[in-house]
Amino acid sequence: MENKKTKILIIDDNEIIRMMFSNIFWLHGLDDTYELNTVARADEALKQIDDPSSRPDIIFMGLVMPFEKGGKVTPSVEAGFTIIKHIKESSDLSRIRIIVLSGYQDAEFQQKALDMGVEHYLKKSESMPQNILELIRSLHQS
Amino acid sequence: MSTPLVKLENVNYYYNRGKPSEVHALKNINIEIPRGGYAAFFGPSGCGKTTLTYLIGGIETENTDSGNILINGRDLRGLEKKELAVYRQIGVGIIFQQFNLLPSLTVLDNVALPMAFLGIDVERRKKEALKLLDRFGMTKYSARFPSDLSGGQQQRVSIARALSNNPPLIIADEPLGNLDSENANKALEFLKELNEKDGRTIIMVTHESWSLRDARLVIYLKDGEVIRTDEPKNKIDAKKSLSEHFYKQLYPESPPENLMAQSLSSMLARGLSGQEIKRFELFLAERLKGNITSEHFIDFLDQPFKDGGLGLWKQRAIKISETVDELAHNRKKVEDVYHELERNPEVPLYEEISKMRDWLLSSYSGTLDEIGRVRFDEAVEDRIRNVISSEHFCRVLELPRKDFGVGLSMSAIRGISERLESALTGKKYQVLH
Repeated sequence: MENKKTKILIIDDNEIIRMMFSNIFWLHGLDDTYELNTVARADEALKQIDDPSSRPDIIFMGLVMPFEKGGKVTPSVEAGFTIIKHIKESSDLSRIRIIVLSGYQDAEFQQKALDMGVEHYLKKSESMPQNILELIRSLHQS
Repeated sequence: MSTPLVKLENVNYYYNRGKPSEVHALKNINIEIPRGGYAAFFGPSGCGKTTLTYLIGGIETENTDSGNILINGRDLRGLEKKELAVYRQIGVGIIFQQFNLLPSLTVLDNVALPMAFLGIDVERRKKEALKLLDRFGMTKYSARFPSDLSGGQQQRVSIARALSNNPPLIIADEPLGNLDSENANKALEFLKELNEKDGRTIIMVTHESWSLRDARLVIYLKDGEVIRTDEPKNKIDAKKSLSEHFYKQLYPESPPENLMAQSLSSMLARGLSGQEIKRFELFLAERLKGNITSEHFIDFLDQPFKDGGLGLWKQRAIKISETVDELAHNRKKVEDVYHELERNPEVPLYEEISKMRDWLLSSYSGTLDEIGRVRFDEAVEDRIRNVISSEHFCRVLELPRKDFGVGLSMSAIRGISERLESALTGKKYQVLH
């Protein structure tokens, strides 16, 4: 019987971060176990999350991303929190595991994210490829 | 079957394509290296092995003329520039022969630098770099600059740097080239550890057979082509499984007698003028072809220059003639060795070499003990199989005993090397008598 691949979604407006993830999956041979998708914007992410055929099992995401408010698009932490809220408040979606990979080290954001049900809150500037690899492997085991 | 980490399909690479200086550097390369494998690209300089690693390392990839360079099933040639840059940062760590450390940065900053590309902050970078330096016993040098370090130490820094973004693939380009034997051995131990303990895939580029000891896949290259692939089952195999292709390519053009006469004349006719040497070579070649007898040859050496001779003392003339005869005799032994190798490339050569040993050592006034003899014979064997260069042969003889050398003096080595090289030169030569 063929096992279904675990779906992982990367949400980050930084192209290098997206590439780093896809490279880690590709180079370390995780492609056999996981199906990786990357998106740059919150609205694209929500589309994938809401569609049962593309719905991820695990999400790695930034917090501060372009966010539309009053017809204006500006980088805002609201982008991230909107996604987290959307997921954790829906019975269909709340099982999705979320890991935040943030460039912002604000303790308040961190606490808020964890309170909302985020599993890990990592700092981008401290996350080496090997840390990400280890985390992915540990998520798979748990 | 799982996807190989590295797979090259029909790869062709040219330097200066379309120009008069065009070189077809890689010809239809097809290779596969499994994830977690330890492969060696083995061959003489100019065979294309370094170019090949550059393609796999994402350095020259864009200039590849045709074929696919698949890393875990994905073709590097299909990647955008940015993606390729990320691949170079986290996909592959290269240990360069010249180490390529930045002279203006401390050891610590050299190791930490690749992490900066990923946006890792400076504190974290230093912490990770220290961990890596510690692994290779280099912590205490972290604040030094590369120029303060020995070759072996620089290389350890270079290995640490290659690991900084945790790449699954490590390429070591002639990692032993600039090291003494003790450090070279250490370098091989490190590579083995990265392979066995970390599970990283290793590609080592080398022209030295002894460095193949841990490789589980040996890819032989010559003139830009893969001429053979071996999967040695154990260490001894790895060292011994040297293809006949290699000793066959010793001096491939070999216009035998003349070439040999040239190399002999430098040994026998030291102190002669250019004109004298030319004349000497001419007669020597005639002697080697068997066109003149040893008596004629001695006469020639003995006669005054104005009468067409060389004007040497009779005693020296006789001595030279004897040396030439001896050499021819030992050439015959070299020929026998080659014939034996042609029948069976794996054949051990101990006996043949021990027969040559006394002759090679005849200008050496000391004696070799058991260990010295074994090492000496090994070096001769490696040289005959053309797995080491004549320079490297001399280095092995010169290295102190404690460094696994033979510990001979430079003057003794010169005589030995000249004899051996003369015997190897132009081996198609028909032995006189």
